[in-house]
Amino acid sequence: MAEAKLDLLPGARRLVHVNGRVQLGEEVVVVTDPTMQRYADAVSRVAQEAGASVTVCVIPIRDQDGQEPPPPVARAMAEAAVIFSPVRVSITHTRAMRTALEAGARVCMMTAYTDAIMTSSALLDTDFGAQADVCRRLGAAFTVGESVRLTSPRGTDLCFGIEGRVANVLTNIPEAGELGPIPDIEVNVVPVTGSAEGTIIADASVPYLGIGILDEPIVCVVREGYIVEMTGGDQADFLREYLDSFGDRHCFNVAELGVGLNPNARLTGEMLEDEGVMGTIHIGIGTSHTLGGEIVAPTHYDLIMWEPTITVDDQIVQRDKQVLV
Amino acid sequence: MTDARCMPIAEAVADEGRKVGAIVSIVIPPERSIDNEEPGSAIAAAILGADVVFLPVTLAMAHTRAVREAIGGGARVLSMTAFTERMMLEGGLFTDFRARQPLCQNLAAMLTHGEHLRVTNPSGTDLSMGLVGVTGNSHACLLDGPGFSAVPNIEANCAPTQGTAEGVFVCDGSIPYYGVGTIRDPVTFRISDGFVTDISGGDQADFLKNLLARQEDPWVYNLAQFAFGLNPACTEFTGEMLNDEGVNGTVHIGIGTSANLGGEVTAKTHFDAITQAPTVWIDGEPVLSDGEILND
Repeated sequence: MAEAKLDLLPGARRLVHVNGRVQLGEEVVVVTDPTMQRYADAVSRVAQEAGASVTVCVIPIRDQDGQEPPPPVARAMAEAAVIFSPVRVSITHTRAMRTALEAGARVCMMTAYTDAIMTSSALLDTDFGAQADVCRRLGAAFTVGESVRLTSPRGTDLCFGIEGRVANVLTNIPEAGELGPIPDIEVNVVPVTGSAEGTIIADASVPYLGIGILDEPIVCVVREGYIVEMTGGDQADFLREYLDSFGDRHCFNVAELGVGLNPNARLTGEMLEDEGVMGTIHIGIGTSHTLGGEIVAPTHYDLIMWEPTITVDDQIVQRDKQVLV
Repeated sequence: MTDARCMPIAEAVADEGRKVGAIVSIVIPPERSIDNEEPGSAIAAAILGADVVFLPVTLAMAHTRAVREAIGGGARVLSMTAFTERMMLEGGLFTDFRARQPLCQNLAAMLTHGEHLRVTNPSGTDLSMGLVGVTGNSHACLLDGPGFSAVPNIEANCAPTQGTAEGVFVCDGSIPYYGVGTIRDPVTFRISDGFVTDISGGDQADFLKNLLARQEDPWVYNLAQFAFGLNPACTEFTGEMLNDEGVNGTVHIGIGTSANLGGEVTAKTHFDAITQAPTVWIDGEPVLSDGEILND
């Protein structure tokens, strides 16, 4: 394995000490693939210095998101107190991960990591403890709320129900049984299936499929929970045609409202940083099953927009980058 | 399972495994301080789920509970401790293992059926041990079912009856553990009631003596194993563990853990000491004579 570059170590120290809170003698499992071993190397070195018992598992590169790790790796994960997962293709929504979480693992997700993320201000400078509190407060507002209205300066105006939904609170300091996508501090909630109505205008980023930062807004008309029109520039056409190619209307399901809560995250076109940018929200489309909804689709992508105002029932919970609960 | 140093060898094996359609995971265990130290629970769990385990690691893992449990779970385990690039290219790995298997099985059967073994050699070895209740193991590097073998070390071995070994074992070949390597001044082990009571010789003997004392574990002195090296393509001592243990016509004793050979002892470590040109009798019948395998 390549020697960890020195400039990866500050990020690794944050991941190990602040996010993972690795303690002396803990079982740490780092799951990685051949493309991400330098991040695994840096994290495992720091965790070893912290006195943890560190096992690194190099898995084959998965064909698609959500594919199960091999059984030996799944068994190792189930023994872990802390898991770090620098892998190119997400293993978040797998049985292996669920089993590890049920056994009490604290999981720091590092899907599709890059040198830029590893050296970002979002990772190095954020007060993760303070943001964890904000994250839990906003999550509680979604969990007790019944309906959401989302507006933005660009013209987004979307309404949907959230009655009965439990928000997913992704603080970056996971407790036992929780996972945190580092440094994407995020709260998300799944709209009641079929309830979303209105217009989504994404003007920030679609950090998937090589699309990245948007040159022209993507405008989506939503009826009865599904996107029925998607227009804009080349990026909108590319995304629409790609989703059409699956021949499955659930690819257009309005699956998620996600709120970014990392004040140091910047829009870069990279998933784990973009989705955490404070002052943005993202609408996830496609599968909602992995977040607690009912819809299973072959895809899940996020449309990110700037400066939303979020109203839950009659209370404004976020405006001008401020969480107001 | 591998570590940073053995990673190129692990990757070569992994590539070949993928070519035959296997699902290959490479696992790097927590850093360990000595050969055959028990790995963490994550490692034990990982190998328990495997069909085949390759162990190109710098520090031996073969004599651990984790490996024993994996074999119990159906795994075929190939130990490749301290493998070198040379060993991937030439020597013992390229022998006809299948052809050697009958001899290996035959010697293992003699250890099973025998009651008493004596070994001597020109350097002054004269060691006796009981074989009552002992089951011999044939490790011919071929895993036809769940089990363990160390490539390319073809060996027949056993854990002698606990507490019975008595005499002197003079190691003049190799101690391919802890960086000791090929022997400059013979290392003399005095053995009484199944335990090493003294180690003497040159600086290598002193080093070994100090290292074992530091483990603060009386079981690290247990006479755990007696073995015949049987690979005709392992022709000289190089300091490479699995080459040296397999050198044809040599014998070695293992000291420390015996649990993975059918014995009862789990110690902090396990190492082997190999000696040359031995003469071996089982129940008074000669089996080896000055390093010549009789009935080979």
